[in-house]
Amino acid sequence: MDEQKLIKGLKQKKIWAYEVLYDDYAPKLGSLVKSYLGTDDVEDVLQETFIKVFKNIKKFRGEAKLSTWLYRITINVCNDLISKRKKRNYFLVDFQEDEEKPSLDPPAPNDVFREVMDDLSFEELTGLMEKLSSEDKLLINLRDIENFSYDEIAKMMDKPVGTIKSKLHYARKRLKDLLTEAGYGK
Amino acid sequence: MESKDYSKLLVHMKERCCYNPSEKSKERILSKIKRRKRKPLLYSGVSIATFFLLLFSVNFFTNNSILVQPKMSMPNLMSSFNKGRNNLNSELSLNLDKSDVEQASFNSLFGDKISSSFSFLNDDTNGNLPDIVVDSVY
Repeated sequence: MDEQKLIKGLKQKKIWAYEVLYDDYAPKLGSLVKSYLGTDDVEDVLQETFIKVFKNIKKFRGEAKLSTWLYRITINVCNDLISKRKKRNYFLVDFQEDEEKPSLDPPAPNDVFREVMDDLSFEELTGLMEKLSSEDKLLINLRDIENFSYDEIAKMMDKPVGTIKSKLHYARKRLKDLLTEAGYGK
Repeated sequence: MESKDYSKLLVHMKERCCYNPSEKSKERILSKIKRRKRKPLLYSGVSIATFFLLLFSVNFFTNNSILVQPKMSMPNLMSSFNKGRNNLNSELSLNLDKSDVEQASFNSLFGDKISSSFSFLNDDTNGNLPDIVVDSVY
């Protein structure tokens, strides 16, 4: 569907427009949330995002793409959730001290089944990805999976392009180091 | 790490982060949006109803004011009481007169009945009274 027509429908608060928006963007936004936050809270974040779109669509001037604007709202909702989680963890830290943390140790490097990347199992990859920071995962997702330009990512994250390039470079390096540590990609 | 390996890793990552929204989730979000869309309409309806209710009540109370009279002083109260008593007396006497008439008519009717019942006593003058024996032996 034509983006301008969709935006017009959204501004007129037409339900069909929100339905189209959901069908077009919910899978992409959901995968972004999943990569940024993990598996939890995806539906809650999506719900909050669409309600924010409904509330603030009048403020959308069309200077950026609709997708960029949507991703920015989603990232802001995720950031709010992360800060809430941090606050909650701050209060709960005393109770969690004795709890056993999940083991995320990398597999042994001399394992013959892990010489090739294809043998990297889902759980191992999950373990490796968990070691990356949320921001690193988000940047890799936006640039290397969703193929957004640096400019678009900069607008989404409200940071200069240079900062985004630098952060992405270090995120890729950290991922590479993690894989090397685990014995892959040598 | 080769770019080939990196791209493979990205494919894994994409698969891992793949999200397929459910119909239920879509319905839930759309119903929330619908509810928010209806909210201004609901608020305006409620405010219009409140406005008319207020207008009606103001109109009602201005047109139907309750007059509270000042309390009476003691002499006024006494005179009103005396007046009330006189009225009551006249009313009662009227009622009493009325009940006397009723009583008189009742008495005359009752007297006639009694006298007719005991009319046989008038025949005693002839000395034909029946002998009445009272047996007192048990």
